[in-house]
Amino acid sequence: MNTVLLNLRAIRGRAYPRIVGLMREPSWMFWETVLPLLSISAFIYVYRSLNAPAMYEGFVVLGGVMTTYWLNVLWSMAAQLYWEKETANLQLYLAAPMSKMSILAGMAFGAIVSTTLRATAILILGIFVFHVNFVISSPILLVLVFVVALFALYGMGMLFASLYLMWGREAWYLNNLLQEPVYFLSGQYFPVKALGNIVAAAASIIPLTLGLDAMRQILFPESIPWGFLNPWVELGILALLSIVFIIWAKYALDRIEYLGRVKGTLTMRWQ
Amino acid sequence: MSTKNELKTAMWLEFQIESNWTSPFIFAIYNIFKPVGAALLLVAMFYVVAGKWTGNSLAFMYVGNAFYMILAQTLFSIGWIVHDDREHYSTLRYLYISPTPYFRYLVGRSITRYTLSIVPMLVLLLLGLLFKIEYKFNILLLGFALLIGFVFIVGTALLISGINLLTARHAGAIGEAFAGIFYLASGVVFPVSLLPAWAQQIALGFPTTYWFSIIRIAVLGHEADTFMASFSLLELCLYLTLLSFVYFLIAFLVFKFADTVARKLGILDMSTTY
Repeated sequence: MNTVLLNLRAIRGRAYPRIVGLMREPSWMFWETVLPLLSISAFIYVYRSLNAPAMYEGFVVLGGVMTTYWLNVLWSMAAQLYWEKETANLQLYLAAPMSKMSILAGMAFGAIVSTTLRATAILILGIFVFHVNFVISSPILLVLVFVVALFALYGMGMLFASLYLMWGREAWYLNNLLQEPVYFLSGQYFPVKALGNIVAAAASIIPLTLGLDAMRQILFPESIPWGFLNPWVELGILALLSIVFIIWAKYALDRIEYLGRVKGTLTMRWQ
Repeated sequence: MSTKNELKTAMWLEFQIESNWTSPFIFAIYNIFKPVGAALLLVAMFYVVAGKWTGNSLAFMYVGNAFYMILAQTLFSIGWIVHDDREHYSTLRYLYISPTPYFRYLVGRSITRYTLSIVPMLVLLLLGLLFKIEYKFNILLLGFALLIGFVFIVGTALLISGINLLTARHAGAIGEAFAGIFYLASGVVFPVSLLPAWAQQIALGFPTTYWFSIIRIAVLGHEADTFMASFSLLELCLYLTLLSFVYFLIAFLVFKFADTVARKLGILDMSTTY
């Protein structure tokens, strides 16, 4: 069969359960919208306790929406192959005739669709409950930044998915570690420039940092003085990151699969 | 096996599961990094508004967040035990038929988790000196708060475990839900007085609300939340003690009920590959 067609079908096949699963398991409508809203609400009240200007509440809603994607990258992309190994499905993936990158791409595509539904629900709830006002100064730039940031994020997720094949339980703990510290370093709820240029530059390796910073400047023009870089520059860096992460993921996946075969760890569970 | 040995074994097991994936040094770093990240997030939020790194509002949210780590880490970790035992390690049936009652096994694991969570809290309090937080420790009151805190935190965690006996895929979400509700409604990082009136009344039904108020008095020497400041220290301690034991009793009853239902439905050791 034509290789391209095979891989496209693999992408569709791997995306299918993530999209259809939303309809079959509707409990996400409560758990994955109300739960994030609890922490968003708490951080909004933190800003209110500090008598912060209203735009900071908008930062929290925006950060909360992007947190959804980050958590999805960690738990539905990065940890996925580790979970497959734990449930003894990994060998099926490896024995399948299509490229493993197409499997990861299908996972990413399905995850983006399902997560976008959740993120939209959180955004709508956030806007209506807390009366947050977004001013879209450049719709095209906003869409570009958002889409490219997602590519970079999920490219990073694909890279982590490859790396996590090397590990056992360390994968779970690393994923846990990449939550709150990343929220801080990437300026989830505050402008990352507050951390200083050096820290902000280092944190820019996480696509969330530049994506959030650019979107904040576009949606809250009064926050431009707090912007780290010009949004167009940030868009360019995000595009570069997405290419680098995807290429790196391909290399890492091949390398780690080879190491796993040599060491016999590909099917080792409960480590 | 005596109760003491049963608890000791469960405690040892929890420590091994939590720590033996890496070296003790890396484990210590890991145990501290996550809470420090959460604390620094709040500090940064304070800085962008106030333009400085010190202040009474910062002390309020910093101390609340430091102790919240104990609650969040315990609820989240213990909430996963049933899921882990049942789905990942497939050991629940063996644990269940062992001489140690499963409830007691969970309590033993909770003790270790609670104790391990105190370490990052201490590190955070130390880090608070960098932000010039003026501590006025009342060690006796703090000890009382941590002791009673154990009762309701572990009680809530066991309640979550009970619920997880009946669910397949919501282990993490349920723990997160409880932790999130307490974070929002208990005056952890902002005063309860900021909440709408109806939410304030709900907050009074949580032992965490009184717990965090006592913690602030024990650590900072005063209660800055005008709503909670209307209670005397004795009232706070009494309400906390009463609610904590009520929560623990409810948790025990829910666990027993869930256990009975799970056995009746034959889903005690179900495997969903989730």
